[in-house]
Amino acid sequence: MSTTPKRFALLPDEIAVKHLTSGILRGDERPPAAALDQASKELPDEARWETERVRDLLNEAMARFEEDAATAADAWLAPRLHSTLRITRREAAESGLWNHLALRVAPDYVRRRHLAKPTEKKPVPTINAKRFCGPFHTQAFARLWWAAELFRDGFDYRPVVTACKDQDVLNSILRFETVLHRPTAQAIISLISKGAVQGGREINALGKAVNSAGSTIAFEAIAPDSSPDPAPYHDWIAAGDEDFTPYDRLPDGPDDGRTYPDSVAALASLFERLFAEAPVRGREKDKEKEDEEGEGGSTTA
Amino acid sequence: MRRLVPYPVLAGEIALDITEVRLDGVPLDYRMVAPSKRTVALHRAEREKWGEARLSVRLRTPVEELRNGDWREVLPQVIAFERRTNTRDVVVLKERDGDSWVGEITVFADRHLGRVQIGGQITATVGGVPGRIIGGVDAPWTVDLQATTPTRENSIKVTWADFSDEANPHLHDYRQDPWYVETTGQEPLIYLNRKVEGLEEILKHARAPEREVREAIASEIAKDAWVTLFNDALFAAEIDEDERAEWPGGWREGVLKKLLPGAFPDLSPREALQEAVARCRSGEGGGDLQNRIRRSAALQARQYRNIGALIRSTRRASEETR
Amino acid sequence: MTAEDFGVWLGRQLRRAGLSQAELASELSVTRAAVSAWVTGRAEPRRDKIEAIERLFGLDTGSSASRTEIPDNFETVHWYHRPGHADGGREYGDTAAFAFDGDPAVLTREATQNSLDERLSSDRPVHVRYVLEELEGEHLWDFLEALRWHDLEEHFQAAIEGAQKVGRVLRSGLDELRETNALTLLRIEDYNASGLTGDEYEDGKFAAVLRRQLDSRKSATAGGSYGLGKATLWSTSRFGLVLVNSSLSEPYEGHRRNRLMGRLNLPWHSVNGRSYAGPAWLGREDPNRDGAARSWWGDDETVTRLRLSREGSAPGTSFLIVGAHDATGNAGSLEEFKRSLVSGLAHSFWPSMVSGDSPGEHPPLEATVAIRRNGDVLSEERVNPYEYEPARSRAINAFLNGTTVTEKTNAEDVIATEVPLTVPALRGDKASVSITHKAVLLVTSSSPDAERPNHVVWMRGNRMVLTDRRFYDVPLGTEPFEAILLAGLATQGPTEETEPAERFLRSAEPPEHNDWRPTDDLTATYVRGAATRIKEFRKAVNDRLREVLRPVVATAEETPKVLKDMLNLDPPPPPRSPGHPTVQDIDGEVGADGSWRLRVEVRFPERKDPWEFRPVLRFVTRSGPHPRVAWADLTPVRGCVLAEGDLHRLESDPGARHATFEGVSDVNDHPVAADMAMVEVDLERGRGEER
Repeated sequence: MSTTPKRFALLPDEIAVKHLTSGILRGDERPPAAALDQASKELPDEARWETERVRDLLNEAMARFEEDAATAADAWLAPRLHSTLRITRREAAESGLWNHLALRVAPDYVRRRHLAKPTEKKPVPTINAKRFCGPFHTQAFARLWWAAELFRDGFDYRPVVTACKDQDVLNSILRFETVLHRPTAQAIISLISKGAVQGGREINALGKAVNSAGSTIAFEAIAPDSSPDPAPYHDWIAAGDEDFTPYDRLPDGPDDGRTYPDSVAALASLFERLFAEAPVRGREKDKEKEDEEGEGGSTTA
Repeated sequence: MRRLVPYPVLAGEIALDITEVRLDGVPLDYRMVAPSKRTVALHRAEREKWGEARLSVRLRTPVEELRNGDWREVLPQVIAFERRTNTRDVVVLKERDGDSWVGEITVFADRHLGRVQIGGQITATVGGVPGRIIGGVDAPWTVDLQATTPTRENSIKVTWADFSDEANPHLHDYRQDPWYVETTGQEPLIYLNRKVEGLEEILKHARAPEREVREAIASEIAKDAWVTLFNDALFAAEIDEDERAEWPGGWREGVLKKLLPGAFPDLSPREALQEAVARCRSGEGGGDLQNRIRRSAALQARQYRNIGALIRSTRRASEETR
Repeated sequence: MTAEDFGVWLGRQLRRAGLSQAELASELSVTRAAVSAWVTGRAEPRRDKIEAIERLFGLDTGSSASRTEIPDNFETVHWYHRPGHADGGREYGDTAAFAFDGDPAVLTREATQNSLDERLSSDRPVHVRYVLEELEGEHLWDFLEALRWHDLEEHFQAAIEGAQKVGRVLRSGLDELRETNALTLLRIEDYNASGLTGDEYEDGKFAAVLRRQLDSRKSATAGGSYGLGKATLWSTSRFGLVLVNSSLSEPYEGHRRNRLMGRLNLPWHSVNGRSYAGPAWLGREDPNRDGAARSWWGDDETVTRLRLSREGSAPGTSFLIVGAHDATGNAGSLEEFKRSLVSGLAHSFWPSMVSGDSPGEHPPLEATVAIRRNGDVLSEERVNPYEYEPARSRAINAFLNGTTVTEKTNAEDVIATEVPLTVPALRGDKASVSITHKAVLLVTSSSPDAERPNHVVWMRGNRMVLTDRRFYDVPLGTEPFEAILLAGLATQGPTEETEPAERFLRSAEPPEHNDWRPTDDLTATYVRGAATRIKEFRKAVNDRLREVLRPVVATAEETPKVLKDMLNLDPPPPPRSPGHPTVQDIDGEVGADGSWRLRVEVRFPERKDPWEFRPVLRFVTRSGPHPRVAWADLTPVRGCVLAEGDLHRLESDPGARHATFEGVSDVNDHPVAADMAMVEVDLERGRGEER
């Protein structure tokens, strides 16, 4: 095993993509460390860019969860990755950081999480290249970090756990522009957590209903949110050195204001109504199929 | 393709002005703001580091229509949106002078990276349903955190590079090539090779007799770039649950929409997309597809005209020397 | 009242009434010596005699105490036509009038410039009011009778026959009057202006306007229009007929109010064997001038009948253009005529209509335009400079308020910067020295909808616009702007600096007053090098403007220009005639059962074979793909039929270019209730698989 770099760096997309050979995607090869290091752009000498804590977190995740408990692992990891890797949205939008994490710091985790088991149809499975270098909702670590950032309710990471317990939230709802409005995101999560919508089909149907209704209704107009306040977030990043991310209980996120309960409740009841009115395609007949699929299992985007 | 909305919406124009920008409280030189291009440049704007840019905005709405329409609880809002940082902040505006709405929206440096779209919408209670969108800003603004001048360039970017330089490891394999088209980043980029003798001179400052040569070379580069980008974009088009291709979004969608009408003139853009993606996935008709793409790319690159001009001028030159 | 005042008054009334002192003495049964004593102010009559005098002159009791003047008897007013020249010369039109041709833009410019030049008190604006009035029926007949129209008709007839161009206009005017029984008047009133003062025949404003051509009697600040401008009044009348009522700032013949006169400009003509030079005047007969017409002092009734009433007693003049028309043919209706007057006023005089914001500040000029019919006001509009020239008006306003800036940080900020002008010494004047005048350059963003941005307006004097020219040498990437150069008096700087500069610039103006350049006047008046100073000044203005406009950061362009256009990513415009069927229009609503019920119009390119197409219905989403929704029913309405064996595919009738069909969405396939989302319809071709 090649040594893990001490600090994070920015690995440009064009470099990352060129090194995603079929060997690496099959999980047979490791990315070439020296070549990647040479092409990466260094980050400033700050404690928060040290890889050690993230690496330790991922080791813990691999130790805690079996390979087939991918969804449970995602739900455990997402809030803790967010709490460990203290970055701004601006920094999180740089794909170079995620490329570096996936190709250089933790390719083993990507392989373990996203390499499917061989099947008859696909005897030699491969990892989707976008898990290494891809959009925020698909890249192995970016999706977890952004799920935590978009679904946390202020310092409260519990909605993140609910969101990541279902791959349909990560695979479809995370991509919707509507969830950039915090009360909308919380309203969807609240319907999931109280069991008003259950299973992939229903969650997808809810997502579609909300996304379609979003073409005529501005949720922010009926469910106000507090204006963003970057100061507490900034303080939380600065406090990263002293903070210690707990593994057995949920950490606290940045205390930058929770959503208004009234706003979330108003949207939750609207969404529940929209969902009730919308036919869920094959709501009945697919029930059994879903049970068969069970939870978890690796998904390909 | 036309749309139908199940309730009355505004027909008149809704325009947005950004009238002032303050960086951490200090007014920004308005030359960094270009109303005609609806762009604000914030990079190295008077200072290297800043925390927040506060924008004073004004939304101009059709007064008569709003007054006479059947809309209640009219609420005009300004929106700062950037997909890359998943940020969509909304601020409600206040009425001023009866024909416009004003307010301030803040762009925080920590929450944004590149181009922030500043748009606006008007919502109202219509037929008892609150929060209906009854109109949006026709032409949103862009606040660009990376730009030093407020321009609105919607061209594929071009940069000069030494392909064998250590700083460009990804170009080493192509060090003999005069140009290289990069498709993997957030935006496509054409690298032109500085090490190719005479390329820079002829493209940048060709003397008159070389004009036709310069334009023919430019055509060649542009066509090559379009073909490469088109293929990349075609592979990026995702297939939805109904086995239909979806527009890939971003610059790739732009490339497809630019070239598909030229490749399939008798199909609507969406159908052309289905056709191209289907052919590309089935592995059939690859040759015909590539020819169509090349034709459309050549059209964008004005190859027909520029090659023609080159031939004519070469003939003329050889006649003169005879 | 003193005896002396009364005497002067009485003397004047006797002269005007044509009574001798002896005749008055005999009327009142007093001695001639007594009357003489009253007139010279040596004695005053008893009360009963004063009342008798008032009765004699037809005045109310007490009129003499208030010094009321006796209006002239309207019966004595008549049209006087100037006889033909003894040498047989003939003029077939007013040379000055031909220069203008009745363009409302020119009319407003010339007439209002005169009003501004004649502004009386600089504490208050001069107010100009344009009133377009249409007269019909009895209102029309009353007006024409008061005008003694009947006496003019044979002259009109003769003029139509004799002259060509004027004749045509005149004929169509008379025809229209006959056919429509309606007449358009345009009254141009000004208030707080000097009025037409001065002698009946000798030098003065009155004679300049009503009796002379090419004579300008305007005050010192005037741009100098050679007096050509007034001709536009007459050329706006189809009949060449203008009536005047002036309230004078300085009394003439002891009167101030209702100095009336009419002037008609006809070409040479002859009536009943007598030849006439052309011009005619409506006025009181002047026995000392072979019956020529003098202005008369009108009574209120006559003034009302002639549609010449003025509001209040503020001095100024009303010009009534009889049979007003827009000779450019642009204004078909009164409303259009009004609009062209408003825009003409706004275009030429916006700078004079702007003031600073502090209380008590007034612009030099206020203007309104009204429409009336038979005396009733239909509409009235105050010309608002901010509406027509928003950016430039804002610039002047900021300058007057002292709120200009040196660096622009707001969309509406106005940058002010000084440009030096060296005013050379006067030629042959040892005491004269060269001075430096600080002209002011104002720059601001043009308004978003400006049609012609990037112009520079030059002004001097009373914010008089010299030129308004495009500035071409604009730095790359510059935003649309408006610039104003204020020079001379317009800078409102210290007079020892502005007045010489004003003089200098005026001498640099060609007769058209639209430029500053080396003129003969300039080189004759100033010492050697004056021409260079003008050139330097113009260059300095351009340099400073470029400096102000220069972008903060100059960018080094990486993309070779030749490549740029070929790599543009802007979406292509939709083709005008696409090579595939397109949806032209959708109409519809959500039905009671919750389905979308749509009526869709389709357009086909021309071809012999029918077009097969599958309409696709989608629900629009906030982001991402738009889900397709199945049709419950599809019904061809016109131009198409259902394709064979497929209920969701249509086929156009052979050769049809348009088709309409109706569709009902399948409620069970909706991703959300129909009234919650937008829908869109597009068309697919071919035999795609059925879902």
